Formats: sequence, structure tokens, C-alpha cells
Amino acid sequence: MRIVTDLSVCGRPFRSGRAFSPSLLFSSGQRGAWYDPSDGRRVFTDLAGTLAATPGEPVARIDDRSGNGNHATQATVAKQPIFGRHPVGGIRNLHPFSQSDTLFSALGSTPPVVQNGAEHLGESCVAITFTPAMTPGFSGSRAERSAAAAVQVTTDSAYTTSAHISLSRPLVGAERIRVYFTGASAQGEIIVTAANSGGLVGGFQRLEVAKTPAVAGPVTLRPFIETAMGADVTIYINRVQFEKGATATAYQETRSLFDVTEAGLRDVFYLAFDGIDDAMQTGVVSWGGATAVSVLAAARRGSDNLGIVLESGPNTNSVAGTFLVAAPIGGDLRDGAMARGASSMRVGRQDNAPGNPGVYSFTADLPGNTFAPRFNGGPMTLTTGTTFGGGNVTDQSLYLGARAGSSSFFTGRFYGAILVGRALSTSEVAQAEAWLATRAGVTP
Amino acid sequence: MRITVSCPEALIGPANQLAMVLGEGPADAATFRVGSWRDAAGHTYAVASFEAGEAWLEHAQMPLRRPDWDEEGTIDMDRARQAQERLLIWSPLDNAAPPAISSSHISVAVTPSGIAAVPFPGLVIDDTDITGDQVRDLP
Repeated sequence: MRIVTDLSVCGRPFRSGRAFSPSLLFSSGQRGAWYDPSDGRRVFTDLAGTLAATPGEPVARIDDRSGNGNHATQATVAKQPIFGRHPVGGIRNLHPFSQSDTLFSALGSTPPVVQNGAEHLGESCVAITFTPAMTPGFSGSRAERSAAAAVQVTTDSAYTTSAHISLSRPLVGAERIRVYFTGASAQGEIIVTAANSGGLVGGFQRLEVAKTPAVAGPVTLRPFIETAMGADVTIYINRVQFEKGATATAYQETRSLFDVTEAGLRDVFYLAFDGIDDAMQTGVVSWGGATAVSVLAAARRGSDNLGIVLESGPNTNSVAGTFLVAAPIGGDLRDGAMARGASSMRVGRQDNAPGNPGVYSFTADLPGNTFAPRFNGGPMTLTTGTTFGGGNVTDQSLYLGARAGSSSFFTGRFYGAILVGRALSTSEVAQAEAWLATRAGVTP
Repeated sequence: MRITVSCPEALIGPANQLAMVLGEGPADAATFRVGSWRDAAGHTYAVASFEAGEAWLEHAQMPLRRPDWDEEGTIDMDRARQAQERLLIWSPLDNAAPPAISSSHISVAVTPSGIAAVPFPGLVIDDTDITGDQVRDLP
């Protein structure tokens, strides 16, 4: 498995779309659809649209904000994308439960006393008490986060473990407590000893250690006593952060990998598609015989697996009057957009890499043979086709996250989309791109 | 954590009954559809993947009981139990070797949370280039 951090942001600036709202594009009853995960009132865990989703929950329905009623749904739970949020700028803390303290268990031949959800000095934390009767060593007395809190590491980067730690008393002599992630690789050992424990009594301190894994694989947090304790001691732990890089950065609170927040930064919301079976679809979208369409989508792909971000109809390769946005779109691993007229198709491609969010857009005027695909405000490379052969946009179901709900599954985050049954003007496209860029956390 | 399940085509029917027991309603009978994944021997599989809490794993290994929503007896509990008996559960925290793929068993991989690649080595999806034009012109 591959976990990709997304510290990167798009470098191409957008101009501010002051006072612009996509609702203006539909104010005269234009056909189309508008999906906006950031509007939490439109994302639901049930098909009826009565139970608003919270971050971390599967999404059965996302409503169309355009007023056209083209809501997208998925009834099967395993195929539902996950509603997510992260701070603008992306996720750094890979530990899925940084503040939740309900997942430690006590293990070893003489397990410690573990109190999940404890309170110490006014802070929620886990409290782990070791006594002199407990056997030192990993197999003797340790607390352990369950598999649900495991983190996948790779060997191509250092990882920094940081945690806020407090003690009930200073350690003395040779007493040592280790707080670290381990599993496939022993990772980031925070060692508490007599030398550094004094400042941990009466307050929490953030301790951090960086290390490059020797072996790729899952690791989980497992504090234990390295030596026998001379008297009872309780270690209090919270605000655990595990991140790529050699130094600890500002703390991000994670309730799951799909619910991450950071003090002082605004939240960005998305639907996470797993690239394996997640997909949503609408009923048949009526375009009213439109001969042009403008489509914008904000997404961040998480892998090199071919993936449909959105597609009108079951297959743009064969169905006239349809279109798609894909990331990536083909074997060259570039992202792209594609539209088909009455007889032929046109394709635009864009170099991009997993983990780099962006706004994809295009306007396709079928009789006019105009096709203008863009990525983050710049033109894509036109690679296939010079004409659409006329035609009009045909009424089809719209699919999110997969081709016809059954193949080319998109791996990544979907931050929103706007589809309008006419050719938007250059300024309208720019405004809509800037609006979506803000939604995706791309620097506007 | 993320649960990824590979189901041999012959077991899709029972596996969907089990999916309803462990899921939320009759729509979960569509969890596994016609297999589009293949192993090296040419056996076909359906693959499903989803985020789950540890309760899911516990329920998957406990005696099955008909869920409260199924008042009309939609679920064939015998077939659900048949699927349960074929489960092979694997976690990288317990076993460094990759999970086994078996054409006679339903393989369940328990991996860290997040968007995941399919953790079954040798299992590939039948998929085609989205554009159909097979362009490979990386700069």
C-alpha cells in the first residue's frame, strides 16, 4: 500500500473570484450539475438525503447544488466514498487517531494498567501505569495501539514521531520508558529517562525523534518499559503525530485519516474514492439538446492507476455527446479531459503527479469544434482529435469515481465539480476555476 | 483500518449474503459483482474495499446473526455462513508475508486506514486505457 503525503500545493496562482458563486452560472435555469463536498448540508450517509455525513463516514448521496436535481448516489456501503476533511495545505500527521485515546490495550507477560480517555492536567490523554512488579521489555509490559491505528511506512524518507508526554514522577537511576512506533520497522524511539523526565512532571512536553525506516510496512504505537521501575509511575500521552520528514511540524489533530484539522487553518472537504470499487452515479442528466458544455472538477489523485474523476455516460470512447475528466487518463500517466461529438473525440492531457491537487476544466463546443481543456489555469496539451463532428450533449447518467460504476476506479480526493450546459466565457471559466481552487485548497 | 476482500467468482453469491449480514441493508448484496480481477492462473475475482472499525472484524469472525433490518428474511443465512467458513483473514501486523489468494477462499486483508492499493500480489484488474488511444508520450 502506498500512502502519499500532500504537502505540495499548486504553484500556479489563480486570480481571486471576488463575490463569485457557481450559483450564478445556473441563475437562469441552465442545465447541469454542481457538487460541493464543502457544503456539508448536501452530503449524506443515506440515499434519502436525511442524515448529514460527518468526516470519516461513507457517503451514500451528494446533492446537486445547481437546482437541476442531479443528485449522485451509491447504495452499496462498500462502494461508497468517504467524506473527508483536511487543513488547507494537506495532511502531514499520518497517525489516524492522534487525540482519541480509546485504542490502547495492555499487553505483555505483566501488562501495565491502561486508562484510555484519562484526564491529566486538564488534557485528555491515555494514562499508562507501570509498577515495580512488572517485567521490563517489549514482551514484558507494554501498551499498544490496535491495528486500526497502524501507519504504513516506506523506506524512502525519514519519519518523525512526536508526542506530548507527562509523567507522574521523575524517573531515577536507570529507569527508561520507550514510546515508539514499531511493527515492520522500529521507528522513532522517544526514550524517557532520568535525564529528560524532570520537565515532564506537572506539565506536558512535546518530544520528537526522526528516523528512516529500515523496512517498509505497518507500524503502530507501542510504549513499554525498558527497565524495571523502582516505584509506580504513570506516563500520560496525547497529541501523537507521525509524519514524513526529519522534524516535527505544527500539530494536526486526526480523528481518522479522513478527519484531520489544524489550528489556524481552514478546512477543505472532499469525497475519498478508494480506486478499487467506490463509485457514484446520477439519474439521467438532461442537457436540453445543448451543443456545448463546460465542465470543471477539482481533484487530487493518489495513485497512478487509471481513474475516472467524472464521466457522462457509460463510455466516452463509444457514446456520442459525452465527456470525462480522468486522473490519470491513459498509459502515459498524465491526467486529462476528453469529449466526444457526433462522430469523433478530442483529448487533452496534462503532466501531473500523485498528491498534487488541481482544477481540471474544459469547454467543448461540438458544432464549433472548440475544445479548451485546462489544468490549474493553464492549457492542457491537445493530443488526440481535431474535430467533434458536430452533434449535441446527450442525456446520460453522470458517474463519479469510475467508468459506468464498474471499472477505471479513481484513487483520490474529489473536491467538487461544476457542469454547465453551455460554453462558459473565458472570464466565467476563470472565476469558476478560482472558486474550485479554493475548495480544493489550491493556492488561489 | 481498511478492509479489502478478494472473492473468487464462484463464491460471489454467498459473499454477498455475508456482506448483507455485516453491512447495513439489502443494497449490500451488490458488494461483489462479476469478477474483473484475475490471478496468474486465470481465476477471476471480485474485489471490494472499505474503511471499517475493529467491530467489523470481530463480527466477521463471530457466529452470524440475522441483522435487525432483515425482518423479511432477505438474507440466506446458510449461504452467508458458507462464505464465512471460507474467510482467510490477513494483517501485515501479524504476518509479513503477503496475503494468500485462493480460488476457493475469500481473502480479507486488514491494512492501515487510508486510500489503498489492492494488497493482493498477483491480482490484476482487467482494465483498458481510458482514452482508447494508448498514447505513451511521456516527455
